[in-house]
Amino acid sequence: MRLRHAPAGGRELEGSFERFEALYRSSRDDVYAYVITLLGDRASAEDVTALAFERAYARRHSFDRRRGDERAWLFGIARNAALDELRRRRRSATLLVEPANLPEAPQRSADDDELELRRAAVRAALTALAPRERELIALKFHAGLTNGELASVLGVSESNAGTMLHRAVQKLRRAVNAPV
Amino acid sequence: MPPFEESPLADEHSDVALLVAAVREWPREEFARELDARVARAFAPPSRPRRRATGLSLPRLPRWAAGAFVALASAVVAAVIVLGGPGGGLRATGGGGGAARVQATSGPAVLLHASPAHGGSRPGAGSSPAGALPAGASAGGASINAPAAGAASSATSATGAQLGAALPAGPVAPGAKQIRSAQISLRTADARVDQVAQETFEVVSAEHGTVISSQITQATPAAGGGYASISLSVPTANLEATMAQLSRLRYATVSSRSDSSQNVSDAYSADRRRLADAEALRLTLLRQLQQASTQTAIDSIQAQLKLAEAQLTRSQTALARLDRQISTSEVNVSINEFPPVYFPVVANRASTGFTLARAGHDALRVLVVSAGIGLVALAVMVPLGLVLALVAWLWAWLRQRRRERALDAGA
Repeated sequence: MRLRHAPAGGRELEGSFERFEALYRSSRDDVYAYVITLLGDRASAEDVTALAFERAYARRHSFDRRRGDERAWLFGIARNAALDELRRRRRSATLLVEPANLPEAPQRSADDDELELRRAAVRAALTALAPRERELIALKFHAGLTNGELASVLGVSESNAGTMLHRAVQKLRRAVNAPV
Repeated sequence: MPPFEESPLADEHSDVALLVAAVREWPREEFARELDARVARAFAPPSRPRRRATGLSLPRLPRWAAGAFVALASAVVAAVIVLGGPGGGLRATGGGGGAARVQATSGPAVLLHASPAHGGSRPGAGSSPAGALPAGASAGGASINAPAAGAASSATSATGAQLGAALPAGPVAPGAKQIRSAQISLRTADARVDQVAQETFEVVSAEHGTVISSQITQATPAAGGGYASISLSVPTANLEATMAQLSRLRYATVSSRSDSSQNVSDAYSADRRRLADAEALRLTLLRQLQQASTQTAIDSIQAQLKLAEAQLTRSQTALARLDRQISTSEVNVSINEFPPVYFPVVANRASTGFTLARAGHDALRVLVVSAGIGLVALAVMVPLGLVLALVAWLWAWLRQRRRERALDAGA
């Protein structure tokens, strides 16, 4: 279960390492999942995840509870770090997914064949989505953000975020259920 | 791989949540351990772990408080610089601002009177004690101009203990002929110009001198006070005694004194030679006249004799004038009245005493100056801050826009 409890007050993270540590423990895997969805390779995702938490620690004094949830604040930082990495990639013109960083191939067994096919179909459906739609899916289902938090991270209105999410979900459903 | 049922999402998207959870990537255990360790060290290098923030640590100042502190400190420093500068208001005493209360740190220390500025129309009176000195004299001390080829010398004193004594006029050869003169400036107070002038006349009479001219003017202190200018002629033999007595008058003090001398030995010798030549020529012509036999020769010698006698008369007159200049000396006396002022030490003591009114005045002045500095600083900083804020906002907007374009370009 995720730790979504946040005490009342304006600047909870300020001067409280324990609170930041709690945020880290509750969000580490979610941030990683979100970042790797954006970047596509494990090494960059690890670097960006670490960088995001380091930035969040450095900026913990600037966190204001009145401006949003701490998880939304953290994912905003992670998003900017991931987009910076994408910009850097564009400038250096490296491969989006390097062969050495490809996700490890799961160990195939007879019992997992049907499950693996299902996963492959979902991966293909996600790849077919636009980057912004993939990001919405990751923020919603990896990070577990509400529509309001989504809007805060993406810089759009809450209704707009809900609409965009609905379209992305519908598109993903159609892509997954489409005949191969 | 965690089970799909861990997803906490609502039922509306539960099917999609299950799908996405199935393909969710999880961090490697090595990476997770490494990141955990970094977070535990608060992202400090491994060799030097950063001290964790605890509840006992001192609270950090908010940024606005730190900025306000810096601005306040800058204003205080600027106020100290302004107030401590030359002519700073903190040195004024009690806010009076009057010139009489300002410590006089220049001018002759021996004087007991202040030096109010005058219009300069007064004869013999200047805006400073050295104002009446001849050109070339230096105020505040004695200076002796070395006579060029022994022709002239002067000695001037505006301060010092030797005001009342005779000043040396340079080395004089035995038997040398000198024209000497002196000038003395006296100061008096309480409308005693008349008394000082009378004392001067008594001194001149006692030293067998004469008053060549005098001008005595009475005036109220508001108008600058009275003044007198007296020109004297005294026997040169009595010059030093006269000057000594004038320096010791009861109701006056000496503000400056000047003695000068001019060596006229050469001119005196030349006049004597011309006179002797003229006498010799006259005697020669008289002898020739006695021996003349023709009327023409007599007429010619008589004409030359007239010219020689005229030359003799001129030489005698010149020599007599020079003799008179040598035997008598001209003394110019100027008397000025000034209102009494306080000794510097008295003014100093009055200015350093502590009173509530003075402290309040100084405090108010500090506040006014500080407010002025703050106002000027605000006038500069507010527009500058607005421009900087606009630039920062534009920079952040452009950076975010580039990020979004990078995401779109990743499609």
